[in-house]
Amino acid sequence: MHELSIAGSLFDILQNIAKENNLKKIYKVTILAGRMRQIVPTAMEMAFTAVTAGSLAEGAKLEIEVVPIKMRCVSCSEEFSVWHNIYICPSCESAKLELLQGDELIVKNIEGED
Amino acid sequence: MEITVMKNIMGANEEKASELRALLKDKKVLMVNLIGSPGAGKTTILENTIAALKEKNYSAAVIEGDVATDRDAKRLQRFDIPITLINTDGACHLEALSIEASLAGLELDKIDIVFIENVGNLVCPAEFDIGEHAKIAVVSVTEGDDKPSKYPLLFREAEAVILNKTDLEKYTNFNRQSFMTDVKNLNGTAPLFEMASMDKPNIEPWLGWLENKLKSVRES
Repeated sequence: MHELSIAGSLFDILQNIAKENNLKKIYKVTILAGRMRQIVPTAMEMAFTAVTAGSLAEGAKLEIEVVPIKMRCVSCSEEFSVWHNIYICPSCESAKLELLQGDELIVKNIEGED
Repeated sequence: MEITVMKNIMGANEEKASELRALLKDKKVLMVNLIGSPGAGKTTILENTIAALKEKNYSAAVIEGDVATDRDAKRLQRFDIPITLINTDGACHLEALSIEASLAGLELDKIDIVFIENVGNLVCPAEFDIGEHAKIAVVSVTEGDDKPSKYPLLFREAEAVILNKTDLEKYTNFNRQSFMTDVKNLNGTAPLFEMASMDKPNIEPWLGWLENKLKSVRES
């Protein structure tokens, strides 16, 4: 249930943004969730509903865009997507990799009215 | 109106974690975060590790994360080392903020290694940077060989993997080859330490790894 903790942090950010932009109501929140983050959408939606209850984001739709995992091989610079948990360069079989995307957890945008 | 935000949701936790790492760097203290299921043997590994480190004149401290009770902390009291207990009151993981409070209660100038025993759970603790230098995945043969493929983030994030209770392997259907393949696919650069937790724990390779890691923190 790390979703509850994540929803709590998300809510803190929403409150700050609402304040900065004088929003009275938030309708929709879109987040980017890297596949590595193991976010369960239904659990995340439930947690979001719970933490936003009674706030200006109550009833807001939470949209989760899942970001696929991409790596770059440190040895041969090959860039590839990770499927089935295999973090090995398909070109040179090295396991020394750097992450390009797939572990992010980002508030992408929000829709609301002032 | 639509507002483009692009802000890291975990930003506050990650900033705090970076602050903690800077503090540890300044104090030349290594901090490792043990993550594994309830019953994987984390506390037993700590008992064996702390006893062996004492013999080598290293001073250790432990931050115990437990949902409730102080039973793990009590088990470690006989070593006469600083132990701080964090009862998460139901929360499934530790966060950087709670570690900050625990570190503040330790005399870091007198400590070489801080061990964090995270809440028994393979999912949530892997998500949170709590300022450690390394996450360690602890898994035992009795849990089955499928844990790496079921909980990939932990095994991907871990800097080392401990396979515990190998003395019980003959009584289980643990598929060693499948386990090794999954770990290698997820994290081909992480060393794997096998331990039989009760008798002849075989912790020398693990101790060597800790000593090297401590050295790199001191030299950084």
